[in-house]
Order: sequence, then C-alpha cells, then structure tokens
Amino acid sequence: MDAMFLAAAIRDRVSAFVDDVEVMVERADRAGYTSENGPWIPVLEGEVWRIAMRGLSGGRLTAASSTVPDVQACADSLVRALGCALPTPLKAFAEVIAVRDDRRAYDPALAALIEDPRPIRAMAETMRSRGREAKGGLAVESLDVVLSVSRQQRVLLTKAGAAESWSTGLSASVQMNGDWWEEGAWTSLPPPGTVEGLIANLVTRLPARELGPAEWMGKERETPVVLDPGLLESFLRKLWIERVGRDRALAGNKVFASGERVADSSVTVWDDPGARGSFAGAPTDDEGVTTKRKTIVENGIFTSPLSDRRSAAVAGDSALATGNGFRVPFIAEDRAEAPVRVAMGHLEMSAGDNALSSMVKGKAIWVPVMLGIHSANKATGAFNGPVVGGLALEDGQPVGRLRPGGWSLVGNAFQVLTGLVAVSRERKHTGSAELPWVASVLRAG
Amino acid sequence: MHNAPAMLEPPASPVPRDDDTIRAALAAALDRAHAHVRYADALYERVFKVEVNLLESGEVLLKPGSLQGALQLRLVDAEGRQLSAKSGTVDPSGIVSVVDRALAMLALEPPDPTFGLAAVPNRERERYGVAADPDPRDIDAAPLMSALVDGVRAIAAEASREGTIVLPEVWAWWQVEEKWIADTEGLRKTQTMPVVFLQATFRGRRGERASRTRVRFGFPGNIGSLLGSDGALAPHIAEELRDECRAAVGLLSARALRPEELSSITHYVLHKSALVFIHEGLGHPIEADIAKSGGSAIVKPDGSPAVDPLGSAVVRIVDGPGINPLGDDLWTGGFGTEYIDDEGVEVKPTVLVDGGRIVGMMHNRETAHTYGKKPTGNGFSELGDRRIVRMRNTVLVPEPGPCWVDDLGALVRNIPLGVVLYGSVGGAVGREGMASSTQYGYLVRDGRLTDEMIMPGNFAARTADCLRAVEGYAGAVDAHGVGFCGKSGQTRRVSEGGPTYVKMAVSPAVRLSFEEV
Repeated sequence: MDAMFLAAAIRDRVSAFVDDVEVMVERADRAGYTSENGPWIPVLEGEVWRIAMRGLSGGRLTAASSTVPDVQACADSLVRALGCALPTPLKAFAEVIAVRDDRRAYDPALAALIEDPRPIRAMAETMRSRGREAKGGLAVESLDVVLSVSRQQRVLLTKAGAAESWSTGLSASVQMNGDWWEEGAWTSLPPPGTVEGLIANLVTRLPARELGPAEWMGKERETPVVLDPGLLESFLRKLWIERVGRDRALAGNKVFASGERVADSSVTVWDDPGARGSFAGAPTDDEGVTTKRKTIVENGIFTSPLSDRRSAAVAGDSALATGNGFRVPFIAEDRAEAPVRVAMGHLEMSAGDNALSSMVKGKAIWVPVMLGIHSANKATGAFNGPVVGGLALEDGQPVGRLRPGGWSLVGNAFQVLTGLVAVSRERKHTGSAELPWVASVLRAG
Repeated sequence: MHNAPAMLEPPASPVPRDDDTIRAALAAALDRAHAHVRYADALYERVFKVEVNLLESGEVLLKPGSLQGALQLRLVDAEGRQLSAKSGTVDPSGIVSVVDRALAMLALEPPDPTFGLAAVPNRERERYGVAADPDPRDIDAAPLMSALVDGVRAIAAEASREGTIVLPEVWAWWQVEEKWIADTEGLRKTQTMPVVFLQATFRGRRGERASRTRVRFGFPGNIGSLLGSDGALAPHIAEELRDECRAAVGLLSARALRPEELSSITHYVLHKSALVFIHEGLGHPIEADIAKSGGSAIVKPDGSPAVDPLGSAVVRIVDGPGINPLGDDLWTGGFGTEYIDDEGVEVKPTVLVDGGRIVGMMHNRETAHTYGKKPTGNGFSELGDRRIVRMRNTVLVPEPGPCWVDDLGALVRNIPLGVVLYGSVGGAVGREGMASSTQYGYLVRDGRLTDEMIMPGNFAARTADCLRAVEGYAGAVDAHGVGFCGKSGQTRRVSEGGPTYVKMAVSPAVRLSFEEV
C-alpha cells in the first residue's frame, strides 16, 4: 500500500465527521547489520507504518495514532476520539502547499541497498577488519559495529492540501572496548571510504596514556572543555528549546527575551527545517507549515522564539508559526503518538576562527558524549553527568584518554555559549545539524 | 524484613482479541519461512492505549484510542544462520514480502555452528496474563484520564501563591498489551496485560528562581490503581504528588552544598525514589548479551565474575516479577512485570547477586544456549524489534540482619554529616560507571535529619566497587522506581527498587555533586 493512498483514504472516511482533518503517514524499510562483537546479525524491517491523525470539530481538537495500516480502524479511532475533543485556538489545519515527490533527503543509490544489502554487508565487514588491523594506543578487545540503511515515504495531508517526501538514511556506529565510539549519519551515500574509515579514526586517535582527574588537573576545577558538535546539538535540542519555544513562554516558563545576550558575540545559530541532505530537513513541519530558515541567535543575541501553529494562534497571530511544530517522541512514545510540540529542525551554527587541532592552548579536555543530558534540569539548564570517551588535550593535541567512569562535567547549558573560549573553523554534519566544535569553561572532575 | 521468594501461580488468563486472525497470520508467516529454514519463531505484539497529555504549553490532549502492532520473525537455518525481521503488517502479501527478503539476506551469511536457542520450558501452557477490567476498548475512558489531569492541576494550584507559580505537566496512559508467540515446532502462547502509568512534573518559579520535580507511578493493572472509587486521584497517589509539588516549591529556597560541607560528608542515604543506580550500574552489566559482547565491567565474556565480591555481604539483587514489602513475588506490582517474555519463556525471579557475589545472569534463549543455562524470561522486544536481554523489576533485596533497621532515624544516627537524596529524573550507564540525577536532598547533621533542603545533584558510581560502600538499610522493600529503559534503540517499561533507604559511605567509587543556586 502507498502512504499517500492510505492517508487520502483515512481523510476521506472521516471528512464527513470533522471540520478539518490532518493525517500524517510514514512508511519505512530498513536493512542492516550489527555485530555485538560476534558474528553478523542481519536485521530487516519492512512495511513499518506510522499514522498520526488530528481532527477539528466545533472549535475542538482531538488526535489518534496507529502503526497498523488499516483504513477503517484508523478512521474509526479518530472519529471515536472526537467524543473527547478539547477546546483549541486552532481554527483549521495548515493549508499545506502541494508538494509531490520531494526528494531533498533522498538518494536512489542508498534506496537500492535496501533491496540488495550486499554492499552494506561488505562495508560492515571492511569496518570490522580495519578496526582489528588499526594500531592505536589502546588494544582492541571488543568491537561492536552497527550499520544500516533506511528508506521512508512521508505524507502529510489536510483537507486543503498534501505534501509528500521521500528520504533515505545511512547510519553507522562503532564501539570499541565498550567505552569508545564513533558514529556517522548521512542521507546520501558518502564518498568511498568515509564509513569504512570511522573505526580506523577511532582506534588511531586514542593515546596509550589513561588519565584520571587528579592526575590531569589535581582537584575538581573549572577547565576548558571542547564539546563535540554532537554534544552541542544535544544541549541545544534538549535544553535550549526550553528557553526558545514560544509554547514554553506562553505557559509561564522562564524563556529568553528577544534582544537578550545568550551567547558570545561570535555565535550565530539558525534553524532550517527545510535543509537539504539532513535527517531534520523536510518540505513542511509535522503540521504542514512550509519550513524556512530563521535565525535564533545572531551575534550572540536571541532574536525571536520558535513556534508551532497552536502557540502562534494563542499569541494572536497565525503568521508567527515558524514551521517548528514537530512530533518529538518523549521517552517511550512512538513518533506517531507524540503530540505536536515546538522543537528545532535542522540546526546550524556559524564557524569560528580557530583550527580544531589547536583550539585551546595549554590543558583542556575533549568530550564527545556526556551521559544523562535527558535528566538535566530543564528548568534551570543545570547539567551534571559522566563523560564517555573523552580525551585530555595539551595545546589541542590528544595526550591521554580520560579514564572511563572517572570523569564528570558540571555546568549550565544556558551558559555554555556565553563562556566560550574558542569556536572551530571546521564544522561537522551530525546528520541533523551542522555545527562547529566549541570550547567553554566548565567544572570537570 | 524478607522472606524467601515464593512463586505464585498466575490467575486464569484471558484470550486476546482477534486470536484466530492473528494465529492464522503467524501460521502463514511460519509456514512460508519453514519451507526454507530449520526453525522460525514469531512474535506479534499489539498495544491499545488511552492517553492524556498536559503539555508544557498548558494544552491538554486526550487520545482515547491509539493502536500499535508489529510482527517479529526470527529465522534459523540448519547451519546456524539467523536473522531477525520486523514487519509492520500481518497482511498476507506484506508478510510474504518480508519473509522472502529475509530469506535472501539470510543466504548471504556464513554458517554459525555456535548459534542456538535454549528450549522454552512449559511449552504446553498457552494462556497468560490478566483481563483488563474494565477494558478501555469498551468504555469511554476519557473522563477517567481527565480526572488524572484535573487532580494534578488542583495540586499545583494549591501550591501557587504569593509570587510562587507551580506549572504542572502530565503524561498518563492506560493500555492493554497483547502478544502472541508461535514457532515452527508447535509453540503457541499468548499474554494479555493491562498497564497504567502516570507521570507528573511540577515546575516551580519565583522571581528568577526556577525548579522542577517529577514523579511517576506505573503498575500492571487497571485504572483503579490510580483513581479511587470516587473518580478522583487515589489518596496515596495524591499524597505522593503533593509531596513532589511541595518539593518543587521548596527547591525555590533550597541552597547549594558548600564546598567545605561536600568535603566533610561521610555518608549518602538514597531514598527508594533514587535507586536507579541498581538498574543502570548493576542490572545492565549482568545482562548476558552485554557480558558476552565484552561490554560489562563486572562479568567476563565467559560468564564468570570479573569482580568478586561485588558488594558487601549484605547485598542481594533480584530481577523478576514485582515484589511485596516482604520481598515476595507480586504479580500485580512492579512496572516491568510480565508473565512470559517475548520468546514465550515464563518470567522467573533471577538472583543476580547474593551475599555480595555475582551468582547469575539474565538470559534470553540465545544467551542461555551460549552459556549452557536455562532461559530466565528476560528476552524482550519493542514492537517487532529483535528480542534482546532486558530487565523487568530489578530490586535490591538485602539479607535480614543488624544492618537493616526500621526507620530513617535509626539509619542516620551515627552520621556526622550526610545527605538524604530523593528522586531521579533518569540515569545512564557506560561500561565502567553510571550516573543518575537526584532531585533534591536534606542535610543530616550530628545524626539527625534536618530540614535544610539541598539543590538537585548527580550521583555517579563506579560499577565495579560502588556496592562495597553500602552499609545499611531502612524500611520495607519496594519496586518503586518506574522507568523506561533504553537499549539498542529499544525502550521497555521496567522498575527498580529496594528498601526505603539505602545508606552508603563516601568512597572513591561514589561521587556526588550538586547544582549551584
């Protein structure tokens, strides 16, 4: 069954019962391999569906979702939900600009690998053999390789229009000795050797020396910390959103004020949910608003909040909707179940002036991952978590591995970008953001 | 305080809806596969959910009928090749397509003579679980779910006064989980399980100060676990919600721990709401698939302990059904409770640590075969994903003795300076260590609990030796911590727990730090 056919059939079944209806259907396939330090385990997913529906009737809103592509059952569940619809400021769903067959994040070469995964398997095998052959400061005791390719059709449809897009994805991760890892994600097939090289990059960059906080710094203290772009993205998506979402402001939560200095003057951050080649890029957000690039922070100054259609309506101006209404799953929620919340799309931050290899003079640490960002304090921005896979740097050069389980970082996510020491001129595409490495002073120990 | 676990016979079990249709679909998938492979088994999971959200924006969203379902199919050929396939549909043409693609992928693999699956015990028993009564599929559950939101809102409103604002958020659901397990050797098992969940977050704000607390409740059972007969929040639920709401207000005046205090602390006391380290630091490393892949710091890949002893002699950790205050199995308690796992293996209590020593691991059928053990009912999948080793309810159940006292007062009597820590909004684990947040604390000084409230913090522990710092306990055992465990991209409902309070000495294996004001 085609996603557009399913979405249209559901819409048509419920149209007589509602003033407006919104149906989002995603259909996905995936093929891949995982090793778990043993023989390859092939993994296949086919005909995986997500169906998210909302209905408006008499000024009231309701929702239903399913992963079962059954037109009648889906329509029945939405009609049934109308009985407990609640008042909403939304008058109608978005007038979706007709988009057919958008492929801004689609690569036919990747899609072909779903049907014939032999090249993926060969790539995975090469990754593993290169990892075993690579020489670094730490002997390889175990290697976990996960490599998969996915394909998705997404349809968003209201009474007033429909948008259809296709996307593909290649994701790869390698984990060495349980503590060290490297990962990458692409919407199109990257240049030859890129994926295979991940593991060699990981093994060869690890110095022989292992350092605890006392050996490196004496007691716990403030120190320059180079944050990997992936970690910076987590701070922005999971914590900064609490201060930049219009829905949070309307609810009475503390948020950034337009014109407030929230970052070093070298920092400009923008949100571009329509970006090409990004997992966070699509023609519309999850409620049909055409996505567009907008600046969140310009030269360190907060510009204006991100909005979904509801928060724009509550604020009294539907034009304030910025295309940032997304179904962001919360913990165990499926994406189709998740309510529309204000969230960030594809993120970018301007590059700095410093070469990554010499960002910080003297002693610093580099942190790719910090556990527990999801449990950081969203109200205050305070975080406090163990470091995973970090390195000690001397004049930007790795001189030691941070002892696993031995290091923690303490700080405040809302102050990370105000206390910058350096910003790299290199940027990294994480799959859903393109960000530089930033160095900020944090308490480490 | 503790009796030896005793298995209770589960009550008579219902037949899931659409049983004939699903059985026929599984049979068709297995027949298609069996023509090409030696063995195949199939799992179909279906979840009907009634859900309500009070979002951070203040918007309320009621969803009276969401449905999820997916099929997981495992193929094993005569030479040990194996593959896991997920299908989002049980439509015959969809299944055929997935099975045929899976067979093509399987053919690419080399033989693996080491692969095998341990036998499923008690193959004859077919039905498990309890009936949803009432069944949310048959009633208008919206008023019941609205009552949960109304109750939490009222509690937040009571606390909002004199410049203090408390904003509540709610996420609650009531779902009926059904699963079917079948294989090419005639295995047929089903389980029906109603489950309820309520999470409330209170965000406090006064001037420039902001705070947050969160509390969760989750039970196998029906909505009556959360609501009283009058349709309002059950009194014990409302009381715990009020405590957390008051804590959010209290945090607006809480202070940071001074450096000289932090350096002088001799003990930490963890309330049962802050025991997530049992799950993160001591559960995950004893999952057999983690150990097998070399990812455990405390169990070697051959299954032998890498650390012995792991903890002091009074430490005993059990994973299994929920437990009652005496430590006995309790099928109606524990958010992670199920009667059978997703491979059809009956859930049994699994003693992981006894007398401070690692004595067992959690297994699915695959790891049980690898280590020559019986499966323990720990093989679970998230809606069509591969079945991996997962925890259920992981609980610190100490041996009775003088270190286990009745109340907090007795437990802190000899502590010159310490902190009692409450609540967590989550944890995470690496190979060597784990971390979990703590929501607030109270200072203990000169053997007495004070009312000096301390800011949220972070509890970090080194897996290999943190349990050696455990000195004592107070209060009854309870699988109190309600969580959603993430592993290999899958999420599963679980719980962790232990006595009401666990006392730990300051040691290099345990590190706490606290937020500044």
